[in-house]
Amino acid sequence: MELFNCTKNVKFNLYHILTIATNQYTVFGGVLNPGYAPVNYALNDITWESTSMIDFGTDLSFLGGKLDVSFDWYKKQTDNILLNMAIPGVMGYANSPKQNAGSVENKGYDITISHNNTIGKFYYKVTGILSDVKNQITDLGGLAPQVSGTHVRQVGSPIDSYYGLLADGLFSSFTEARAYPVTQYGKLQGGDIRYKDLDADNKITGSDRAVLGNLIPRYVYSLDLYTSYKGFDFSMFFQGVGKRDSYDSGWDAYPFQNASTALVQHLDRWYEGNPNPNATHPRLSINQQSNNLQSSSFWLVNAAYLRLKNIQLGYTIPVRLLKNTGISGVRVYANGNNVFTVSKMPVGMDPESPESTNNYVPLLSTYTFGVEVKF
Amino acid sequence: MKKNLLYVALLVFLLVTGCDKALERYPLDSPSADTFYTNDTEIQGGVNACYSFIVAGNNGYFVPEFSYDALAETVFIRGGGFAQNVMMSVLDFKEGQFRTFWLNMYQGIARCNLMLQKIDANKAALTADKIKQYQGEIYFLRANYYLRLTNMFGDVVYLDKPVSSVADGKAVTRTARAEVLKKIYADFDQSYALLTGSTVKTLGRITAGAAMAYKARAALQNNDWATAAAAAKTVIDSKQYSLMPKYSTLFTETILNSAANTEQILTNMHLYSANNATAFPQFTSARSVSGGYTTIVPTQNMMDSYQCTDGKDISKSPLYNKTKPYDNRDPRLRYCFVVPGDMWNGYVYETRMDKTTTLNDQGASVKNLDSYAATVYTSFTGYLVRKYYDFKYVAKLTQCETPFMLCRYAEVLLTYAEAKIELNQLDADCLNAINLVRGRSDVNMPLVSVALSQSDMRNLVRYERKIELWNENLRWDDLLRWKRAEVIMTRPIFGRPLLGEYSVYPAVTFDSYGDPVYDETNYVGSPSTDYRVLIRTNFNKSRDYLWPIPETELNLNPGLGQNPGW
Repeated sequence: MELFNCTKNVKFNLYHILTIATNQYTVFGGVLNPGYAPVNYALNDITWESTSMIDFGTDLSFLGGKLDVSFDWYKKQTDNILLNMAIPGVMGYANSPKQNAGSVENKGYDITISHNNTIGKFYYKVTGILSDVKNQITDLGGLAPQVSGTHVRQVGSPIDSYYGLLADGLFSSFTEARAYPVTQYGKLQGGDIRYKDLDADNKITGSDRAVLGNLIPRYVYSLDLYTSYKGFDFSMFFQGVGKRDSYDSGWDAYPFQNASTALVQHLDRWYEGNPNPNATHPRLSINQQSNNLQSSSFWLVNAAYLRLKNIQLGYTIPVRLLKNTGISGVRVYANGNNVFTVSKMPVGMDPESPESTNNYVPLLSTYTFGVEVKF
Repeated sequence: MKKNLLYVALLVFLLVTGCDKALERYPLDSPSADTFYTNDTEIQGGVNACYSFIVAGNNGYFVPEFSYDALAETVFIRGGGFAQNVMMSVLDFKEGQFRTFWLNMYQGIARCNLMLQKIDANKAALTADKIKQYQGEIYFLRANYYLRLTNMFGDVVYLDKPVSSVADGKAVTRTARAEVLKKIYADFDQSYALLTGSTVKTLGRITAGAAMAYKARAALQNNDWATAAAAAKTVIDSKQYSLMPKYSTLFTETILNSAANTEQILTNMHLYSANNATAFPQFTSARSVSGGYTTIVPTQNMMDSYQCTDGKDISKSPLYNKTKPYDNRDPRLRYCFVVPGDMWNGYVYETRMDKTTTLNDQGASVKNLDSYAATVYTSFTGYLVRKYYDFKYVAKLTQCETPFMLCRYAEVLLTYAEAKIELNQLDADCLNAINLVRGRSDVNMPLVSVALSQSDMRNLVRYERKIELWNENLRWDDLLRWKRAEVIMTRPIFGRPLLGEYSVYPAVTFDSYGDPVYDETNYVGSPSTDYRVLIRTNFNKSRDYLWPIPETELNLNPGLGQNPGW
């Protein structure tokens, strides 16, 4: 009993105590001098997160095991959620310590349906999975929205939602841009992004930002097929996400930045020969175009996708043909990974990659052919 | 069996009894703020850490120690997004860099306040001399941080004690800049008093002279001429400092590391093994240096600012020769810039697109690695930074240990001269201060034997600040306090033309303050021979003299209020 009690008493201040960093060196007279300072503020009155959850679940089996259905619905409420939240700069720390910041609700369901059957020598199995979760901050301890770059934490929205200006197409001409009565960022030209002046003060500033979307995937699904007929076997695995946002940035979004290159999607840009206010990219510029680099819905991309993750066809040679060979089994197969993807993501971004990895090597498709020999 | 039972019982006993306080201990791998700073070693280390933000911090390409001037028209940083956005006036309060500066300064201030408190509480553990030394250094540093803060943000939160809780941190309000300035003066005065007579002269540590010189700087940056003149006079009269005979060697490690450098007042030292080397050579190296970025470069606007040796600007001097534009110029030009035709890194330096070959130091014709044809990343202006550059680091560009002077005697002389001019006290002391700087043996610009009009003297001292102190992090604050930013920061920033000879370019003209004026229609017309427009600047005079209170701070504490126009 005592031991258990002890565990319960573990307070965060053990690990979240204000400690002194001993690496704040300075150099005087060409010589290294030690420097000690507290660098990471810690709140010592924080407590565990607490979670309450309601879950209705059922597992059903029909047709003598040929059809299985399982379903779960849950609502999970996490209170005193521990998030790294900014503290006033005047306190003298640059870190955002863990704080019991508020409450988050996750509501969702999982459905799995699986069916298998044998018709003569033909066997098949189909498994479909669909799950969804809706995340929402329900309380933030009275704090104002916490903005960090293109993300925000605010009551009523999913955690770390995308946050920015609302783009309203591109200016179709120089005249239209210069005649625009709202002040944006710098001198505007045709092909610059127009933003919505939400607070109607004729000035685009941080006060005109709104929640744009979020990167928590909704409607995550997969479909797994397996069939076999005599020596042949065939399988396919599809996966996908029904709704998710991602954010385009860096070289992928802005051509020629700091003398970088251009990509195929930059062909659909505004230029005088294509004064399309709905082009996917603004005018080209070798300089930083502050107006067009603002966090905004313009650069939000639809990260929903469907992908054939794996496909495989195999043939197992009948055992009788292997008599007296010393081989107990042979299977030949052809396999493909990441065979195709249906998605609206621009070139250079992959829907399965996290945000801001769009300068990385793209996902590879691989095809293998093989022979399995068992002795 | 009995024995085993005993062991089990013992183990249980240990676990159970060990429990109560075991988890309430302070961590053992690093000291805790509550129990630390109780002896001299720990307090000394705490004071050292108060220096950490003496340069405002490394913000990617915007490294204030050697390119705070890149906010102004005299230095350009390629890829320096923040500096360029400031110059174009396209930022708003959501820009995160503003908070970085705010945080850096308040981290410094909080460390100072904490150490003042710890020194007070542990006086018994320290000698009287140590107490004076530590407090003297801390008062200086705190004042310096507040000076930087007020220059950026105007009215700021003034704290002279540590903030003990988040709730307290959210309840603070801002104090008027003029009130903060009084506290800054008081801190510098205290620092001066405490350090006067100190025997600690280690290069890099604060001294009484530095405290008074910074007080002069603080006063000047707030247009408080009488205080500036008096403080500068105190430094001059102390006879602790004198100009080094040569500008050309002043920014070399031999001089910078030497106790014989009588000009340095405060120096920031770097040591690779202390993990605080700079990457200055990487940013400033030519492209012919492997790994050199050539991102921080002098501008054409600065190039055109150097007068000819007769003390006249290049639009008026008969000594100016358009075909040999670098000849007969204020010698400080060549001490600060690498210009086309210079032998540099073993090659004749030239960036022009049509110069695909160049001569090496053996006289052989070789591929020109600095040509725009070889790399589009070559100097965007055609010039390179020579001041502080040291070839010692070409193979270790990010391990630079060159010390940088944060304050030197020439600045104090110019502060004194400017304050006297603004007070209209154009006496011999005032002329002497300017003449000392202009008359340095290898500068040798014409001296002023008889006082000119107040406005001519003003132009002269402003010229000296621009030229003598180029890229020493004072230009931006100068443009703000002179209210010149609204004029100069609306002119384009130029680089040297990509092609062609100077002789085909239109003559530069100068405004009544002696700064070059570019009527853009004259300088931009035909792409092959144009001056290269690096950036079209903009300045909103009802807003941009101060930076915004950072968004995160305002969200946490709306009581701070926002600066006008943001």
